[in-house]
Amino acid sequence: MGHRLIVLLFLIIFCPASTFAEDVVVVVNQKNSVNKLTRDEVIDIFLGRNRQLSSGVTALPLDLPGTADEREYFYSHLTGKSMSEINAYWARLIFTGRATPPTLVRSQEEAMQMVIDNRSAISYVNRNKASSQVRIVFELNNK
Amino acid sequence: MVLHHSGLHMTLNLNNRILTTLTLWFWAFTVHAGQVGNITYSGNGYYTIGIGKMLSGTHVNVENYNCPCLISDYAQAAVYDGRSSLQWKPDSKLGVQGTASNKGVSLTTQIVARGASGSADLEWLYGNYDLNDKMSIQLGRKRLPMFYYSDVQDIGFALPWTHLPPGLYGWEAVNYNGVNVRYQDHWERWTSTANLLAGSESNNNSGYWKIYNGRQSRSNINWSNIWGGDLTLSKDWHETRLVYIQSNTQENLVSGEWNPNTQSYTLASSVIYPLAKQQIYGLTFKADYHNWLFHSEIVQIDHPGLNYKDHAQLLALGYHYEQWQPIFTWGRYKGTAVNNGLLPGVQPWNYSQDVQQTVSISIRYDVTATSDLKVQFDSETDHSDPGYSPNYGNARLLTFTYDRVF
Repeated sequence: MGHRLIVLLFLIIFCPASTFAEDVVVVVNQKNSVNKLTRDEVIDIFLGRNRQLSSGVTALPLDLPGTADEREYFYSHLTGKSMSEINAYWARLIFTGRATPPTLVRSQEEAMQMVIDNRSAISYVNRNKASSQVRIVFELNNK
Repeated sequence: MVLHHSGLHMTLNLNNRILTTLTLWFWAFTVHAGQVGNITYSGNGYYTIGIGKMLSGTHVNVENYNCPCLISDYAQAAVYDGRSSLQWKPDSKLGVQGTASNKGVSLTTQIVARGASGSADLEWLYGNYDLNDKMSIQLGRKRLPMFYYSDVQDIGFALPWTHLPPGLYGWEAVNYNGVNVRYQDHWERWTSTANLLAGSESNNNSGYWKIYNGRQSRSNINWSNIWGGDLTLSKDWHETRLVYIQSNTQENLVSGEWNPNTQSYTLASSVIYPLAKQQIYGLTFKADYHNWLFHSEIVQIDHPGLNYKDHAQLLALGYHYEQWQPIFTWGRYKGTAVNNGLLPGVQPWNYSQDVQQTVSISIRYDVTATSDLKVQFDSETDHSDPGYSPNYGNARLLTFTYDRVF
């Protein structure tokens, strides 16, 4: 038993942080009538291509800080592009006024609170941060 | 202080350049985003630190340039010349942008300081109003969308090259003052963006014409009755763009003596070329499939009143592997006369063909998610007719850049 505990502690300490980010979900406000989003719809929302939801609401996407593992995992697995490529894509839009990037929040906790408070907000968070007060509309994991 | 006005175009003289640049840096690093009352404001910026070395080429003096020469940006007269030392001015630049917005109305301004021009220029200043979810209108100073990368031509981080392929991305006007209506729509997996624009542009010291009329020359250009539009269709991994723009153009070559103390010309004489119509046609196809990148672009510019045409083509193939992105690029420019090249109202001119071909190998390495390092080898071959002037000859250039957005 003691041996297993040591192994478990070892795995927790030395396991790369990114493995904890490998179960990311996209969440919306409970009052938003959208129940499910496709991968393409999530890409359109977070890359500024189309933010009109089927519920008629214009989505307000939120971005986690650049230091969050979930951010890199989300974009790389959603689009197949690196963060550098995503940022180069946004540079083309930001500096030409063609689209507004997702609103930057400071933490997953702040993202959750904004989604709870704002009917238009949509964010990606680690599944274990998803509150019961929001609705999961897309799941991004390695399964 | 000597201030040259050209519409909204402002050029600050040497005495203020350092102060301006320091102010830009301070502003860019201290301001990022915030809110005052109902007004949301944001600040972003970018810079490129570039160095280049001419490896070899045709040794000749052309229009006061000590060649071999490679022109990295025609509009700014950014030229790598034949000096043996490293050169940093042609590709180095710093840009900052500020946007203030409130309920569908926004005001955006962007200032760019370039090593090539040695000045800070107001590149963008426009107001935007969202008419509805799909349509918006912009009024003010904007980039003229002649080419695929026109909008981001200064943002090195958004480009796969250390500088844009000069044969295609080289023209006398890059901005305009006027109005633009943008429409964006979606159906199935297709996204379409259309722009309709109208306006005018004038530049009282064109960098482009210094390439052709001489380093110390001064040419004023005036584009009037600009109108046109572009349409971009994209789906998943590919993108197609069509553009048509037309205008009346006029060049005024001012002869005189440059006074470095007053940073101005003592006017001796001027030649005003006839007002002539130009029609610009462009087609771009771009693919980003898995890790492969493909870019092709064709531009043709007809000058029916001046009896010549410009043709430019670009093909690029690259591959993205982790942080690395090598890309191979081929580009060609050809200027040809039609109707024997008679220039009405001035004199018959014996127009010879102006032809350059450039082959480039570039490697990009993403240092962080917001910065990259690039190295690029350009080999330009001049195939112009022997009688064509100015004939800059061949050039082989090595450039390095560090690009960052913030």
